Order: sequence, then C-alpha cells, then structure tokens
Amino acid sequence: MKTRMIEPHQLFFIIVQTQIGIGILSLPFVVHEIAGKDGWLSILLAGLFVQIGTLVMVALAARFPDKTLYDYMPIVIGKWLSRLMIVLFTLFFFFTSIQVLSNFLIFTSIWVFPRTPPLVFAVITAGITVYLIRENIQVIARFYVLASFLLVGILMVFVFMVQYLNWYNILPVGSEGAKAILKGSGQALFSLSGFEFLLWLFPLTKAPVKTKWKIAAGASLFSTIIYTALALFSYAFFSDEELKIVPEPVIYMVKAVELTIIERIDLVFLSLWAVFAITSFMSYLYMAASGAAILVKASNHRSSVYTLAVLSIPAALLIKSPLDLDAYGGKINLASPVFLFAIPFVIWVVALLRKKKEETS
Amino acid sequence: MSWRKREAPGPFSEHPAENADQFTHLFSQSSDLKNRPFTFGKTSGVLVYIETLVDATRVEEHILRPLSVHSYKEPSDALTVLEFTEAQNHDKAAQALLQGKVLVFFEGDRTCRVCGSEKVALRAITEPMNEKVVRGAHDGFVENLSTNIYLLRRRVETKELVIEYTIEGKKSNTKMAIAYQKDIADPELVKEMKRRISCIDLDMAFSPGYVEEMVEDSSLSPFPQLLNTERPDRAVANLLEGRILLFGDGSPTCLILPVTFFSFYQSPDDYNSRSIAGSFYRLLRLFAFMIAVALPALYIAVVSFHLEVVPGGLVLQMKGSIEELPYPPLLEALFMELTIELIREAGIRLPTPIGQTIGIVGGLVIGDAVVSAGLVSNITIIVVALTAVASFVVPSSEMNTSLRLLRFPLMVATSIFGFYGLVFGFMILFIHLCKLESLGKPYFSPAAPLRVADLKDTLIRRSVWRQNTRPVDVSAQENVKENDSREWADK
Repeated sequence: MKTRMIEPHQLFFIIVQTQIGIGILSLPFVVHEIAGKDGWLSILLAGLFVQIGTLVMVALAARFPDKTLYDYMPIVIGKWLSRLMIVLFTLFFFFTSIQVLSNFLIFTSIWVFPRTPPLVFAVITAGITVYLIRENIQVIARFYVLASFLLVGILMVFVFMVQYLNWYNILPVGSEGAKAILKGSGQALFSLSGFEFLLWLFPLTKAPVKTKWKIAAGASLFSTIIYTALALFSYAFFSDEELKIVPEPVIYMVKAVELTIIERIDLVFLSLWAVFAITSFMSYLYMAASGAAILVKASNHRSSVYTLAVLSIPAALLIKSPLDLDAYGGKINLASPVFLFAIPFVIWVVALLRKKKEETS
Repeated sequence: MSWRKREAPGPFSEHPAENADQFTHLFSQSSDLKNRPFTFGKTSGVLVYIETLVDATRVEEHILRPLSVHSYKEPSDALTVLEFTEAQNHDKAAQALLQGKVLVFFEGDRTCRVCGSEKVALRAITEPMNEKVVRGAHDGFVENLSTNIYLLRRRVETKELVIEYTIEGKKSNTKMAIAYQKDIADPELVKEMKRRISCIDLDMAFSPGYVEEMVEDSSLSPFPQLLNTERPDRAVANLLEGRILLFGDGSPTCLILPVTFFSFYQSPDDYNSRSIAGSFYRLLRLFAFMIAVALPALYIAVVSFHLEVVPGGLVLQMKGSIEELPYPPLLEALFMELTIELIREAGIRLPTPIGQTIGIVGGLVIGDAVVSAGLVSNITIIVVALTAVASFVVPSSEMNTSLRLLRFPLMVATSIFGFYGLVFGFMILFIHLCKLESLGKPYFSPAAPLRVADLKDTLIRRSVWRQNTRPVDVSAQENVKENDSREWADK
C-alpha cells in the first residue's frame, strides 16, 4: 500500500486543532491562579518553549526525513529501549486523551447538561472519534481542515468583546514577578501541547524540511496568539479579584454579548468549543492508538482504536469533579515537559553522538 | 428439455430449411421467430428473423427485392445493407437474431450471413423533465444508446473521444458504453473503472442504477457518488474535465464519475448566465443545502432547549405559538415533514390534472387546518415549508432525495441534545463526507482536502476566462483548459 501523504496546510491545521481545544475555556483561569494578571505573559512564554521544542523535533526529524519517531527510535537507542519508549509515549497520549475527554465531560455537565449522565456524552464522543480516527491520516487531515473554519467563530468573539474591555485591569504588566510567570507557563504548556504530532507527521508531509518547520512553527505561533489573546481579553474584561472566582472566564465574558439576531452567543460558543475539544481528543487517541498498534505488531491501527476508545470511556468517567481533574491534570502537566522536550532532545543528542542518520538513497 | 440440449448443434447445414428448423428449435418455437424462403437465380434460400425486432421495410427493400429482381453472380453482391457479416456458430447467430438482424442461408452453402436490419423505435430528443434550464441547450439523452453517443459525438468532435462497448447482464444482455477523453482522463481512473465494470455479474442491467450500485465506492452512504444526468451539455462538460461517462442502452441517464459533492450543485445555467449571477446561485444552492439539512433540527433545538437564544421580540411569539400544543416539537416537526414527503410522493405518481388537486389539498387545506386544529404551530409550518423549498433547489434529483433523508436523524439528535446534537450530527456528517471517495478520489474536494484554486468552479463560478485549470480531484493528464482568451484586452 502506498503511504498516504498530507499537504503542508493540512499539517498546519492538524497541529492547530490538537492545540486549540479544552484550553479555550479554562486556560485563562488556570494560568491566572498561578501567574495572576500576567498570565498572558506565561502563555507567550510557553509559546516560546514550544518553538524551541519544535526546533528540536525538526532537527531530529530532519536526520530521518522518511521515518516517524517510532521507526527511527530503534536505530538510535536500540530495540528494547525504544519499545519501552513507545510504551511510555502510548500511555502518555492515552492519559492525555483521557484528560481532554473528562475535561470536556465535566464542562459539558457544568454548563450545558447538568442532569444528563456524562456517560452519554462519553459514549457519543468516543463513537464519533472512532468513526474518524480509524481512517488514515489523510481523511483525518481533511476533516481537521474543514473543522478549522469554525476558528472564525472564535475570532468573532474578539470582535464583539472589544467594546467591553478595560485595559487598566492588566496593568502594570509584569508586576507578578518572573517566577510566577515562569510557573504559569508550565500550566500553559499543556494547552499548547499537540505540536509533538510533528514527530509522526513530519515524514508524511509533502514539503521540503524547511517548509515543514515553518508550517509547524507557524501553527504553534497561531495557537499561542489565540490563547494569549483569549487570556488578555479575559483579564481586561474581569478585574483581578473577579477572575479568582470565575473558573471559565471566556464563557462568562461571551455571555455579556447580545446580538440582534442571536441573544446568547455563549450557547453557540460552547457548541463550537465542543468541536475543538473533540478534535483534540481525537488527535491524542489517534497517537496513542498508532503507538499501540506498533506494540502489538498490528497491520493497521483499527483494532487498537476500538480498544482504546472503549477503555477511555470508564477512565474518563472516573474523574468526576473539577477538583479530581485538577489533580489529574497536575500529574499530566508534570509529565508533559519530559515527553515534549526532554525525550526528543535526548534522542537527538544520542543520534548526533552516534552519528545515526538515514541513508539518503 | 434442458437448454443444454438445445444449444448449438454444430455447424450450419447445407440445406436452408434444416437451418431454419434448427433456429425454430433453438428458440423453443417462439411465435415471433419467422423464416421466409426465397429463390436466388437457381439456388433456393431462406431468411430467418425475429418479426418483432426487424424493420420490415428494410428487409423488403434491401434484402428481398435485390435477391429476387436482379441476377447477380454472388448473393453478397445483391444485398444492399450496410452491415453485412457472417456468424461463426449458432450462439453468435442467435445473438444477432436477438439484436434484430436477419440471417440469410443459401442452398449448398454452410455460411450464415448476417444482415443489419434492426427496427429503431425512437423517442424524440426532448428536454429532460427534471433538469430544465432557462438558457442553454434543450436536448436530452434518450433510451437509445446510439442516439446518445451521437449526441455526445456531435458536441465533441475529436478523435480523442473514446467509446468502449461492453455487454452487461447475463439475461438482459444490455449494451453499455464507457466514454472518456483519451488525452485528458487519467488512465489509472479509466483502468479502475473498467476493472470495476468487469466484475459485474448480474442477470439484468436495465438501467445505470443497477450498475451504479456495483461500481460506487460506498454503496451504503446516503450520498450518491455518481452523477446522473440526462443532459448532453452537462455530460460533455464533465467529460472534458477528465471524468468518465457511462451509458446503458434503454436508459436516458448518463452516469458520470468520479464526481465530487459539489458536482451535484453545478447547473448548465450557471455557465449560461453572467458569472456574478452564476456565483450567487451557486452560493444560494449550498446555503439551501444547509437549510434543507439543518433548519428543522435547528428549530427543534431552539424551541425545546435554547429559547433564550432567540431575541426578545420573537420569544413571545414563538413561545405563544407552541404553548398550547399537545405534542413535543420533535413530533410536530416530524409530522409535518412526513406530510410534505407524502404530498411529494403522491404528486409524482399522479397524472398532472390530479397532481394539482394534491397540491391544493396538501398545501392549503392541510397546512391551514393543521394549525387551526392546534396540532402544529405556525412557525413549524414556515420551517417545514422553507426546508421543502430548499431541498428542491439542488439541480440533481439524486442528491435531492438523499439530503431530504439526512434531516431526520439530525432532528432526532437535536430533540435529545439541543445544539450539541446539531454539533454531533454535523461532525458525523462531515466526517462521513471526508471519508467518502468516488472512484478513489476524495468526494468532498475541494473543500476537504482544501484546494483553494478549485473553489473557483464550486463555491462560486468565476468567469470562464479565469478558469484556467481543471479540478485537481480528477488528476487530469492535461491540466490547462484555458489560455489568455481575453488577451485582446491587454492591448
């Protein structure tokens, strides 16, 4: 079977769709808890880290232009160590996907359907996810690009909100101190993760190495800007004191807008958000499933998609309250720098030292 | 007696009468199989034919008369028919008989001569009923394969137009034709198409609809993956974009593949009107698609879950109109949708004079009475009527039927989950569209995969002189289709 290749613009939107997800609602608040009204600087800083991470990944992938991470790891660090790494990556992605799913379920039950059991939405989400991600990457890319048209909806929020903002709320910039900002960026990193998809998509994209790097960097930059703007707008809309008691500032903010045709755009906004949340879940589950398929030496990733999707439902339902979610997310947050930065960096260094490189034919 | 015993009892006999008997036997004494003895000079002979299939005047004028009046040396000199071949065995001869040909046997000669003399019962070339256009050609395909190919060849006068015949249907032996433009169509596609057709094994292939299900990629999808058209101009436009046409004898529809979702929204009218108007109606049709699929669902979502979305002025009216109703919004909308479907289905079957009565009874009487009886709200009627109108906007009746079905699952989804139901429903719908392929080519192109350059002839219709390239989805051999036609304007 010939390899299914994706176009550069599809790479862009796959990364954007993975990054932009549940963070839309919660990120400004989560970061504010640590970095105060300078949270937006934390997000920018996290964006900078992501750019560095992207650079490492591109450097690594450029040594093996036709192979994914799972293909070249055995060459670089040996067979057994690489199997261990695949197990770890698979688990990491699976746990991340569970966090995304339970986040989606919890917000849905808080904001939209308080009396419907989360199981219903878990099953529907998992069903839709399986329907898409059992297909090849081309089909997934097509859908992600299509779904990205909904980003216009988020931009519209900015347009409507401008008149309500009070920029004095965010002044003086940087008053929370560098340490708080740095700590906050750790929190923001989770929302911006998704660029690691690059390690798998790099060989599948039809473009020169430099273009791929630009596309990946551009995608992360785009998501960083969207998140930073959302945070900036929420911090300018609410005062510092208000923000402490408003866990989903973006929705509360949107609630204030009334249009002539649509009275409550927060309801529409939540529906858009559902799409972004589900696409993030899809991405992580796809990555987990393709790792699992390699581990069990399956010819395609379908059976592992089915298994993991079924497993993710009870796992996500175990996380019942926002408090549980914070505790769980804290652990994922600790692990993600390791998987996003440390491991690719170490593999790159090892590849550099052992002079492992793909033979160019 | 089993058919095996009747089959091909060996080469033909020297005696015409014996040959005629063999054929009578082969056709189980079928009443319309006739033979007509004659004498040619000193030799006697016989004509064997199926009375219902041959054109009597042609047989009399070009076979019987020359054989009796003139005295040529060779009988083959006498016959003045265009098609004059020989059949090798009884199977071939029987096949020829079934196509309306006449077999000629002479005393002392073992060859079986086949003369073309088919009766052609033709319907006049008229404009297709369900694909009318305002401006442009008003001819349409008919039930005869040769006429259809004629219409095609008249429009594309090039030697690169390839027509390939196949016979499908073990019992019906329907003649089918594949047509493609050799210098444009992707040879891989043509090969794939022929491979799929060669797999067909069924008793009858009366209409392309039978074949359609055999060759399409996902036959369970609600979306048609082959474009049906009865319009030669539409067929030719697609042919010259590098797509493949499929004709079947006995059916006026031409199948086109590979096609995209947007092919169903293109109408020849778009190209005959100005490009701004054409673009407007394109967009309108796609908007109509959204209305036809989603409007009832959206209404149900708003009324049963999110009435607060509606601005203040309208809330009271909407609330007021549904307050007194005994049924939930889903049921009233379903009830009205099904009524409309009933009226439509009844209207198609009935003859035109009674059809109008149905329109009046259905539209005016039911529509008005149902509201005053308090079964359905006013707004539901508006929503359902709008949806019905929007669903008829699609220029293809195939797509029209599919998209009318799509709204029902969406209505159920929104009645359970509100806006979320709409989101889930649309996600599934679009994932499905992204997955679909027509002859291995992405069905929802150029929206997914996004090809901005190809939106010029899908979302909108740009001026013809700006449409320089063919769509990417057909992977045509020759990509450029227009070159500086308005060069004169630069000077």
